Amino acid sequence: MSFIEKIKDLITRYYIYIILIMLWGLAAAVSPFFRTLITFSAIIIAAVPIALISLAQNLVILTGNFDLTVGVMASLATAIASETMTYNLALSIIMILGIAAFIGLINGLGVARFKIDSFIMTLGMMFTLTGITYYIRPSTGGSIPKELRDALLYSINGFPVTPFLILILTLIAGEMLLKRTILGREIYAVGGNPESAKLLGINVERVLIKVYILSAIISSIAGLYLAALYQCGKPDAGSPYLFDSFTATFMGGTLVTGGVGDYAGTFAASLIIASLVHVLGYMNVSVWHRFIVKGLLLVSIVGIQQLIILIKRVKEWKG
Amino acid sequence: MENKGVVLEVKSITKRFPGTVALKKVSLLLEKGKIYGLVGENGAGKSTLVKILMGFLQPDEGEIIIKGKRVRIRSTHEARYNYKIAAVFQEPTIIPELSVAENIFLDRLKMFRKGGLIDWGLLRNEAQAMLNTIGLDIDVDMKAKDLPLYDVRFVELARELSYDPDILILDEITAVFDSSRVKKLFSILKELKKRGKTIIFISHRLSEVLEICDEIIVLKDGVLQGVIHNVFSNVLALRKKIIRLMTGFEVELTFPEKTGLTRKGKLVLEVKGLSNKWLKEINLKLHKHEIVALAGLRGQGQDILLRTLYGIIPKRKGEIYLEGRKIEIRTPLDAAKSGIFFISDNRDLENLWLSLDVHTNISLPSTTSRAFRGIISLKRDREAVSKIISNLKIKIASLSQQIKYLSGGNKQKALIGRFLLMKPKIILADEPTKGLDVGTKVEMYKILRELAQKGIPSLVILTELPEVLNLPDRILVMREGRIVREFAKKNISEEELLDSYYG
Repeated sequence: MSFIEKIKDLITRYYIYIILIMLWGLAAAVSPFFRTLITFSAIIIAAVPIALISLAQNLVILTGNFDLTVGVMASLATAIASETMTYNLALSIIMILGIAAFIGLINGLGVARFKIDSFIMTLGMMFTLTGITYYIRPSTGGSIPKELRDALLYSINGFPVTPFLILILTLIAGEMLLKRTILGREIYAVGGNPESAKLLGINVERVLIKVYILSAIISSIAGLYLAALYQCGKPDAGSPYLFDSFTATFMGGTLVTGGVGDYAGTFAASLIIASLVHVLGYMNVSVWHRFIVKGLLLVSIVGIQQLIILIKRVKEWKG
Repeated sequence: MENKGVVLEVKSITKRFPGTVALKKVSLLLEKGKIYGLVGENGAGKSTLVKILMGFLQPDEGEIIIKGKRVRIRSTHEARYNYKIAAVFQEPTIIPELSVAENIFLDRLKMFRKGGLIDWGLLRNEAQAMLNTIGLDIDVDMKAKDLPLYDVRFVELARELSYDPDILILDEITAVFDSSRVKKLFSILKELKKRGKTIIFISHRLSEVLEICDEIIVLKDGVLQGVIHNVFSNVLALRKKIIRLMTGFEVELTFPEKTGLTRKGKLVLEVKGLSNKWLKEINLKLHKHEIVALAGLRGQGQDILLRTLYGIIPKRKGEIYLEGRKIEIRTPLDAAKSGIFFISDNRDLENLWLSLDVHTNISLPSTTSRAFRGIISLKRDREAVSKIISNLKIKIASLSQQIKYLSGGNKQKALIGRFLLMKPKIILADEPTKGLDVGTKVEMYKILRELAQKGIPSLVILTELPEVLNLPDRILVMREGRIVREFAKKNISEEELLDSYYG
């Protein structure tokens, strides 16, 4: 490999980190406020739910499917938490995770066993769960024990220690899961080529079911974090993260067709998204304008991915 | 009837797919320690048979008997573990993003688990050991997508051998091998044979089959044509016999005279140096009154050539001249605008709107040319379509009949009719008589000949020997993406033609 090829290889592999550093560098250079600990802490705190929910989405997309319930799973968790946690914290958490596992199982069965297109399956589920969430908690309210906030948002001198640890843990767990566990490797097999995976003796159905259960559980953990953050139940707490989870996954280099990608990229993209809010804020971009930026960002990322694939294919056919 | 040497018996197996019968009452006996060749043209049913033996497909009728017991192989897992059958499939079954080691042991990663995580060291050693047994020296940590295709096939071979099968199936594994790799594979196969393994070897290269196989199973259109014993001598005669069984014969066909031989007309199409991934420096000419056939074994680039000319597959280099003018064809639309039309061998899906009526199928693409100020003229459309239908003698119940209810021949004629309304200069056709009965085939020959006489030449892919010999004015034989031989005479001997098919 020549020097230039090596550089090219490095850039294509780590481009997302380069973008992250460039974004931070640029923002820090332009805005003195960005250079403060307050901003850094705010980004860390905002990045946790994005990183978690994007991990959930990333796992599903790597299998070649979608999960539209990731956001509402988090909302539902805050709703249940706000109604039950004051009675018994531990029991409430166990119940929330148990319910999440059950919903993930239904999603998985629908997609894997009954061959319902994952878009349709999880869209239907998203609406159903939204209804249930609003039934439990029609408006923001309820109460969350202070212990949960103290534990999940513990900070020293303004530095958010636990959110930072959660982020690091999520990164390690996500990467280990995908790279070092059997399920992780089977996810790549299923997403890369389901037909081959089947011929090679992989139980494709079981892998999909496990992934949907995992996705739901991770999303509801993000919900617990949001409950702690808001100190109450919020029926729409998770909704912005559905969109962010797609943007982070695709920006991180995972292909919409499945089988290609990793979590390290998605993680960096999550940090970018969390920072973007602040950067756009300094640029006096109003909230609805941020929607426009985010929307166009998602479409152009996937557009660029498809363009690269098309160019590669034409090149290959030409021989 | 208990036979000690028999490891597997297939009894009268039939497998149907929508629209076709892939296997018709195929029966086979496989013995221990023998290498079986399985040959036949594309679509003869070879891969279907492999998938049934591997439990990936279930037969509709018939039974499989292993060691005297009737069995149902329900999955590839059962085939490999319960019945000791392993296969390298025609299409590589490799997970590109995983390492070589993971690919070999993908369904047994549990063996290497330590504390919930995969122990790479252990996995690596086992994989390396597996590769050593077949003398393959590659890094087991490499991602499978970074391997050249021939190494992918050897990795798959190592994977299948790791199941220690009694029966090993290799479906077209040598297609990407050069002669040294074929030699290497054969020495592995001979070793396996010595150890009493049964091997089913599938290849398009007959010379390979004749070199290594003890028995040769010939399939054609899903029907077993025979199992030929290889005596490893008099190879030429054996080869001829096999080819004849593979390609088949039809006698009652009659063909119009090859009038394009004496009256060619002006040059219409000229292709110079056309190349892409599969095509190598294609040069060809087509004159106004000619029918030119692309022949050779299937899959030698004939279909790619037509699709490249029609703009479906991009070219890397090469020039195309139409009536002396250089044209650029980047999309099918470019081709159609130049008057080049394409009849696919899968016309139902690629050429027709199956759920629409006959009238629309014939008239829609050319309707603007008859429209008045952008409004479709139903009257003129109907007149044009009616004329086409009577000229080509298309049999329909009514113009509003859905085209899917027409017979294959009438669909084909309707398609030609559609093109005739678009003032075609050239017709490209991929196996235009595929699936037609004898009478309709003869009609199709006449139509193509009449078109040529009127000045619409055709470039057609033909596979059935009688058609190749008797329909076209000129025959271009393709092999591995090249035009290797041209025939331009009235009487061509079958031997001469078939010889040119093989390298």
